[in-house]
Amino acid sequence: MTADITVFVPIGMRPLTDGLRTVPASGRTIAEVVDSLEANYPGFHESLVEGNRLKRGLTIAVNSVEQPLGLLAKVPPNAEVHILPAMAGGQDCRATIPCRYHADVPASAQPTLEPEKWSRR
Amino acid sequence: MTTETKPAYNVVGSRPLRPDGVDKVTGRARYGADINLPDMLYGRLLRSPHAHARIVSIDTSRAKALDGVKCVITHEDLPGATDEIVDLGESVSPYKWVLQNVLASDKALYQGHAVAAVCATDPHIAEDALGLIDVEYDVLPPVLSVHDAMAEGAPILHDGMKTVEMVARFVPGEGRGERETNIASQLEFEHGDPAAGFEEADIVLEGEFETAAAHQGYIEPQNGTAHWNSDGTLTVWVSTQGPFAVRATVSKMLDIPLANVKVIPMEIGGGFGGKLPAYMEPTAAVMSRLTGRPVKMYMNREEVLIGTGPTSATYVRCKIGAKNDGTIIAAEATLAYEAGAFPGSPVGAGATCMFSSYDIPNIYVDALDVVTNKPKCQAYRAPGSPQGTFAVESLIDQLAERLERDPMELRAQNSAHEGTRRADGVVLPKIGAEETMQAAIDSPHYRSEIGIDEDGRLLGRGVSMGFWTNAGMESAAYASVNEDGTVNLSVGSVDIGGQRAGLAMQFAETMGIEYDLVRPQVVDTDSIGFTHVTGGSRVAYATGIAVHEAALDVREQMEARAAMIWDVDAGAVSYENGIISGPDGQQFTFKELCGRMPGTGGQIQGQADVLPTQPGPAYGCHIVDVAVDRDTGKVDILRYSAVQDVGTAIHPSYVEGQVQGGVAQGAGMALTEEYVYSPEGRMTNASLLDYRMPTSLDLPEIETILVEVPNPSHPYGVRGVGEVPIVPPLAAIANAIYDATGIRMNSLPASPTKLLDRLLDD
Repeated sequence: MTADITVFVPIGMRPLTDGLRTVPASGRTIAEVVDSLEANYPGFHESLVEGNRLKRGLTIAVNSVEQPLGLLAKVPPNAEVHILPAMAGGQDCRATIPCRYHADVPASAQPTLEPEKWSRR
Repeated sequence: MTTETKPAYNVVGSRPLRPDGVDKVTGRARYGADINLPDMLYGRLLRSPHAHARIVSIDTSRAKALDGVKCVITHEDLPGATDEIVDLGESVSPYKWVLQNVLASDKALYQGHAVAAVCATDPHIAEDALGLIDVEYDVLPPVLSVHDAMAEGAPILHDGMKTVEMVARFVPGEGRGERETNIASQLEFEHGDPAAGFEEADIVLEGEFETAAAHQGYIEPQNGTAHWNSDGTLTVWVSTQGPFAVRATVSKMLDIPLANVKVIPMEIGGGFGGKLPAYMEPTAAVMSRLTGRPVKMYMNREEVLIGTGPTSATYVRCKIGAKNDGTIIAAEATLAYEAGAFPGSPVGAGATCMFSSYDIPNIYVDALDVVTNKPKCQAYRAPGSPQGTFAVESLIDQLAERLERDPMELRAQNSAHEGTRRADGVVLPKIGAEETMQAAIDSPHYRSEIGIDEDGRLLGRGVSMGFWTNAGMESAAYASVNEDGTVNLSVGSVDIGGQRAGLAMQFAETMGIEYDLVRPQVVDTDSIGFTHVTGGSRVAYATGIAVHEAALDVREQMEARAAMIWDVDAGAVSYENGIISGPDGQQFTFKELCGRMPGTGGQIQGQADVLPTQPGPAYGCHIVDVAVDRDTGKVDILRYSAVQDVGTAIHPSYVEGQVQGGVAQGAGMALTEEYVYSPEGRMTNASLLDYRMPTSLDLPEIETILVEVPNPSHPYGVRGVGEVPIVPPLAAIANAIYDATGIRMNSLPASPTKLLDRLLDD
């Protein structure tokens, strides 16, 4: 199948794509697109899917329209796919895997989180 | 103004009386506090006096011994906490945090955090019993701001908490950070090349901005009554924006089937997002099950302020880059929003919305969700957007000054439009940003002179744009057609802002019948299909589509009924404007055919269950004139105009009311409203005397200009209208203060004390 789908990769997931912001994928459903991503960039499936559904708190937009059908949503040819946090008032966030910030990397790599920049006292 | 020729509607766009009006003005409307049942017990909560403390022990024996006390419970009486991620209707969250916010387990994480509950035969006995519960605390230093929370060596609220990525929160990998933190999560958006954009910019402006926590300020405090039946079913009467969310929470906490819980939403005295979560209902339900008697619980005003969630206090660092011709070509922001005691601030929405009024090719946003020793924040009208927008719109105001440009003309030059990419990369659909800005420029207010104040006060004018995404989600509707030509319309969306009227109007329009023939009602969770919360400005849109679809269902059945009566093919019958027409000029009016229902197959019911996804983003542009008293620092709003793209105004009076209400709340956030804490983390202004919300005496008549750029994804062009009007006031008022005084109030509220300090410094 032609890799005619453009997936916009959230910054936090770019370690999976060697830093690429967008990657091509194939598929006519979100499930197939995730499989296509997984084949080329291992880790997407584990990041996005729990059981037979998208992980809670995530939403997928196809051509900028959020898809409540999740993995079952149809993907037309040449579509754009965005991976987004589910939007709701007081949207939550939680996990067991930390993100790249606050990683064990030099403080210089975390410019926005240097404690002295936040301390107002 | 309407931007395109609008269909000639019969009902949509009119201003009929609201169906709940008589009950409300006569005091007959039933609210949760009106529930009284035989053998009812009264529940009260013991709340932590400490902002941050380990709970060493809780001894309830003395309270249990008090005559009249029937039950005392602590966290140990609730089902076990798990890490399971649950979707309880208002947001996705680990179950353990939902549970811990209902009753604290090992730690009290904010002053007002419930640690035990009592129920007794009398509310005064219950209150007395609270004083007999002995709690031993190990008091810990509190964390009261994002700066404190992110400082090196800050006390950690949640053992083992690591920062997670909001989107890619489950990315596998090793060694991605072992340090415990109060930064619960991070979200980054990037599109274009921000670094190159700033490199190319002729002007770069940057600033730091802060806003205070503000409460939704609903009139009616939280309340709920739970009645456990011996057959294992439970009934809950409650003031809530989400009956199905309450059902899910109670079902989960009692570990009983969803079908065994019936939630009856009472009339609601305001919510604005604050009545999405369940607070006392699970506790009341547990105590009802333990005692076998109904248990009623309600908060007083102090409890509302210290024990329920306000919106976040925030810190935003923002930068924009522009060419000398005014084109904004780069933007960057770091947002740190307080989540309160448990993760889940609206920082993601803030990051999404803050730049979305403009077409900016290069954007980077870094958003942090930070826990602090304050009540868990909750949704509040366009959650997260006012705070980020305050920063952006303040900088654009500075840009206009630097370039000596009209601030509205500069905004219009950079307006978002259909095809613009938001910060998160999503492409905007058909929107009314440009039309809204132009309507503001053309408005009588903007074209007027400010004048000179006779009392010598400093006068100034400010403007701001605002954006909100709006929401879709599931809704159901059920229409029962009666033989006299009336219709009972049932929905599951709690009516906060006149939705019953707006939904009945949409139903009547589709049916081609009079509004007065439709009797709408909000029903309990046993009586309607699943319906998401009243929030996200979604009801007029999503439940509106549901009632439209239910009407179409009715019409189709009426066509079939007429075809049967006339003995013709259904395809030969049509329904238009309340007239059912067949071959050879045969016709029924809607009422005539209703009268034929008995004996021809019985009554007709229409139903729909919908999940629409294109709510149509909303834009507002506000203009405000203020007067600043240089001796006291007091800011008076002299004139306020709110221009908003509302798609199609179903009931213009209610739309105007929503806009005016949003402005009033935004003005409070801009000028007076804030949670004030002692160094120990105790709220020092937990009453409406000291927590100062604007009243009608503080505000002039809010002028509204409704711009109608119909949403193509709704049969009548509806866009949500309730939330976006709270977005622009913060920046508009701050910009007006600057225009008046030359002082940038980058920290809101611009209370008299703060502003006077700045005036005296000048």
